[in-house]
Amino acid sequence: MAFIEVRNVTKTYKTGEIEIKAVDEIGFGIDKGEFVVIVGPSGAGKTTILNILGGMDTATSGSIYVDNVEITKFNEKQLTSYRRDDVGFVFQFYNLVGNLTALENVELSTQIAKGSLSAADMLKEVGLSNRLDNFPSQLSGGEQQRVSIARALAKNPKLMLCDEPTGALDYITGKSILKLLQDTCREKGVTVIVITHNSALAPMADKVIKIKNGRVDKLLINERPTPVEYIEW
Amino acid sequence: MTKPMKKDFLREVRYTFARFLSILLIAVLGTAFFSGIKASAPAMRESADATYDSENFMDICIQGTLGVTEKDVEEVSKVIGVSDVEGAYTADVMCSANGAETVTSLLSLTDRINLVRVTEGRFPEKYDECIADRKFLEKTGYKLGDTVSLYSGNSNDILDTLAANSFTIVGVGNTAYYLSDDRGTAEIGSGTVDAFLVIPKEAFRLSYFTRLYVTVADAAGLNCFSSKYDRLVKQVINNIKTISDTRCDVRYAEFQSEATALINRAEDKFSEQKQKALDQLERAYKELSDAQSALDIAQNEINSKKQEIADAQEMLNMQEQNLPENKARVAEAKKSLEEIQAQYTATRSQLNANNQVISKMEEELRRAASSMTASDYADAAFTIYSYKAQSQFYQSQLDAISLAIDQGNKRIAAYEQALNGSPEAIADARAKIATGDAELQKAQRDLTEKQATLNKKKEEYELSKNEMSAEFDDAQARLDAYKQKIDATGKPKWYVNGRDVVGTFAAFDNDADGISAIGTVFPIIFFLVAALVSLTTVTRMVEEQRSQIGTLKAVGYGKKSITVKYLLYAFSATLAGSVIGVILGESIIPSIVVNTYKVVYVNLTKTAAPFNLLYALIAVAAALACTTGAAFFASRRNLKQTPALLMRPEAPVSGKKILLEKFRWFWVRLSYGQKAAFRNLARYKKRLFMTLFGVAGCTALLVVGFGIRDSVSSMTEKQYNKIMNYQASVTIDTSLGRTEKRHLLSEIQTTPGVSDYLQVYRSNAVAVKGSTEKDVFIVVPQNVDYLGDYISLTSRISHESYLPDDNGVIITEKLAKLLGVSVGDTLAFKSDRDSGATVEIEIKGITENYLNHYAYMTPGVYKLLFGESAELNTLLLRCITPEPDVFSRQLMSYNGVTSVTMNSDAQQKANDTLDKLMVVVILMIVSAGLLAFVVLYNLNNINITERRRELATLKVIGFYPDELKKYVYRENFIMTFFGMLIGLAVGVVLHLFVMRSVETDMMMFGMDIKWYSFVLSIAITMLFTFIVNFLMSFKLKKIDMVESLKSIE
Repeated sequence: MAFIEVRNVTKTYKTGEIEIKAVDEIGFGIDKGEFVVIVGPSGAGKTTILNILGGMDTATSGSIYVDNVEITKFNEKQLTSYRRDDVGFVFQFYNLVGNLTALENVELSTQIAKGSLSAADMLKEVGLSNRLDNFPSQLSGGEQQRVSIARALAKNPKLMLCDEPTGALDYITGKSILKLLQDTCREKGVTVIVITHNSALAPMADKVIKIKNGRVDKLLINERPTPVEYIEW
Repeated sequence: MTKPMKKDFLREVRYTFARFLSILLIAVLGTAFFSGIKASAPAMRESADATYDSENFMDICIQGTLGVTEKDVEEVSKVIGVSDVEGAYTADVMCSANGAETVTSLLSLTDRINLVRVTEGRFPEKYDECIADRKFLEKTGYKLGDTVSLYSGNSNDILDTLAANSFTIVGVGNTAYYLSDDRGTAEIGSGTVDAFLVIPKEAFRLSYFTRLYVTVADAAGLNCFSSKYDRLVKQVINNIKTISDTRCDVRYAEFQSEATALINRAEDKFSEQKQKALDQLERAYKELSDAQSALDIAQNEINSKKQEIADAQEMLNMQEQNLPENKARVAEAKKSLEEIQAQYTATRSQLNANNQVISKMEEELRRAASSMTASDYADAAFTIYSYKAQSQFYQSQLDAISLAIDQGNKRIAAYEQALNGSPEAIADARAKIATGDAELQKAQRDLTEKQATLNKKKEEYELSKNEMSAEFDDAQARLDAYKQKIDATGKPKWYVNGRDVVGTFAAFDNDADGISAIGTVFPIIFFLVAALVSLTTVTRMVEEQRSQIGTLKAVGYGKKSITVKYLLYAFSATLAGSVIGVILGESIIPSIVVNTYKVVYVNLTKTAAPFNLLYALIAVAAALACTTGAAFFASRRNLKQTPALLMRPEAPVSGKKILLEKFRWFWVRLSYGQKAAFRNLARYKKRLFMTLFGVAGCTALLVVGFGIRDSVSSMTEKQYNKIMNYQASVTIDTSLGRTEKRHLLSEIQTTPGVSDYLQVYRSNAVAVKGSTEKDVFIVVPQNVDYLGDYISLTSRISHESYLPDDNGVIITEKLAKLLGVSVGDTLAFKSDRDSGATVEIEIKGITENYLNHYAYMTPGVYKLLFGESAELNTLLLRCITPEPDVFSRQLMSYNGVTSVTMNSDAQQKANDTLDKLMVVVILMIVSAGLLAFVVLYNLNNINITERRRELATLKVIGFYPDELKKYVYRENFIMTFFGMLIGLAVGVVLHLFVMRSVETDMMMFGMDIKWYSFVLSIAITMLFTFIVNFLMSFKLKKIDMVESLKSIE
């Protein structure tokens, strides 16, 4: 069994009388340490998959195994623990707490997660060793996203979920963030899943899952991923 | 406003309904409390007025010191402004039932004024039927249809006053005269009236009315608590006072002639009775002396008999003395007899010898005869013859001796006989004497006994004679005293008073004032908080909609038309809220208040709570001003910016280092959550203030609420346990004689439970300083040295103790404050308001005191001021008594005691009255709770919606619900903590203000608040905070993690 195993997962939203299948009988596997890009147009069901994978939402049917544990059977509390200890999130808008400094924002997760790493070290690793005491408002977008990545990494997660990590960033900064993510994946062996609508990013992944209308349209395995530096969009 | 903007506005309201609701709600609260409580005072007064009007209650009550007559009624009814006059009788009597004495006030049933309301049964139809007070039935246990018997409770015959002494209860009723359960005081029984009975006028046998009830023309249309009514009635009172002098003169003349007639009758009766008694005494005396003389005769007899016996005794004694002499005489006689007998024997033998010689010679002669010569013979014969003559001599001698012997024998026999018979006679006589003596002794004993009885009777007679004479003296003294009293009874006086003569009327007015004062203070908190709620809400709204505002501006809308939306938002929420609030408040609170007061003022039969438009408008206007003003202030800032700036998303909230971070050692020890909380506090200042205000308001309300209760109870507690160290005061009839007074004092001293008493003179007077005049109790102790043992004369502030001396007076604190005087100043007195002022006297001390005003002075100072000496009229008792009722009844039973006031009763009464304030306390707690709720809810609501994204992120990161709550609530707790601290301080100040406004001239509240009231206030505030937080946790739970993925708006 793959490290992450998604089997026949369906998610149905009900709005009034109408049922919408956001994700329809989807299935794929992701190996440990893989850099995966899930790509698809808006409304294809990417975010739903992210939500379910991240333990923020539950599947209507089907099952997901993460490291041989079926997270679809988790209750609320187990899901919270799962998010707390196993998943690192990187948000499109960084979602830093404005009232906390960079260091404190990272501490936000290190202080709750089991087996977390040093917050200061983590910030050093993402290249912000001299901005520890800065508030988010004093940081640039890229720097904020680095803090966000440091926050996710600091808890030493089993997988990192990145939702449009470059969506709010300019081209160059976006690239540097993607590089950071790719490097992290390669150097630390963390499984990284990046969700984006930008298919230009696909070549950098070990595995590309194309989603369309709630189903896997294509699943490509990239034997030789392109380094970020060579990708342009 | 353009159509789209209208739509936008409506949708805004719909989508942010919670926010709209919070403004609306705080407006409801503020206006409801303001208008409701404010309208309560008029409602109370309306209700009382309606109750009074429904019974055609008197506007003026006339009481004369000598009663009022039918003629007075006529004259009063002619006075300008008087609409109707009715005379009434009153009397206080006793009823014994249910194992207790009930002091009962009898009222005569009136036809037109002061009507009685019968709630059960019917009105009396016969003179011996009555309507009973509910309290009467409760106290005595009698029921409708029972017959109650009454007695006077003093030395008077009840039938002097009433035509009957038993009445059948045919109805149960009440009267506005007694709004509360307080029935006033009496001079009989325990001194406190327990209940009343209403009986027909015919049941009274008095020749004069005790009261006149007067109604004033056009007064019924006015509220009797209004100044208009006051002026109207005062005018009529003055009008009546102008005729009172004449009427009193008439009455005085009448009284004097009546009294004189009465006295004459009494004197006649007295002398008649005295004569009768004297006659009786005379008879008794005569009987006694008759008996004495009979006894005396008997004694005399006995005495003569005694004399006889003594004589006999003496004779006997004499006889006994003669006995040996007689014996000697017998012996002598016998001896001489023996001598005679010896003579006889000798003579006899001589005779015999002679005779023998003769015989021999004769023999010889015969034989010798023959032989013998004649001469011889003749010789012989002669010799013989001579012998014979001899014998004859002897014989005659013998005969003579024999005769003498016979005689001697006879004499001896007689002597012996006499001698032999006399001892018997003596014994006999002795026996006779003995029996006579015994009889005599018995007679003597009888006689002594009789004498003893007689003596006893005499003693009795003496005693009863003394008694009778004492009685006569007494009666005479009484008669004299009565005469003196009548002589001393000066011209009668009329007391013409308005409704304020009814104790509950004034008390009720006071209570209404107190409520009104509270209604002014507290809504201020609500209005302030309303402004803050509006401020934060609109600020938040403007911030949220900055891009929209920018767009509108860019499109070409002016500042005004954009602002209108936000103003309208606050305005419409407040308007809706305040209209609801005013309607709710004015329809609920006044009737709650009135109904609560009905618990005390049970006979307040009407509830009038008319909608008070004035307070409603004030409330709405104040609420609108507060919230709309705040909204204007909040929206102005953002609108100043250029559209370009506005359309860009607001720069992310900039975290700032706060002052606290300077203290590194402290700061590094904080968790990220605590750091965030402190930084948030510094960042959202408006919210900080709102929470501080809300929580502080909540705590302050609670502190005031509990503080009112504390102050009130501490006032009575201090007054009756700390200041007044005596337990009862007894007023004494000043007309008592010296002996009677001494007797009474010793009676009181020996009453079980009494440990000590102080004789004082106590009277009402007026203290004057400049133009300020205040009623004051003058207390003059007979012995100044002991005054401090009965009344604590200590300054509340300096704790210095005082005693009055001959150079000045000591007055109580509130009086000093009202007169604006301090130690060393001077003041004057008046014996009543109409009389002239005395000389100024120095104030030597100002003492702690809470109820009424007192001036303490020495007899010397009193004399100096008032020109008369302070006679004893009151005793202050220190006593321990488990049953105050029994105790006071016992005291009342002593001759000369006119009333007894137990301080425990007075304290109870004061406490009962002030317990009404509990409704205020409850109101405070409820409003405090609502306030805390609205504020904290609003705050949390804004806090959570504003930080939705942050909280969602934290959820995603893996915060457990509890951790999340802690993160959010931490700042709430910090603010609540500081809010409570501020609230305690504000509460203390506010409490002071409220107590000052509730306080009347006659009292001073203890301003302290008990420590547990503070604890309780904090605890309740915390409870409210917890409740709000608990409710908020649901909202927190509902935050969708997906929010974190959304883009910033």
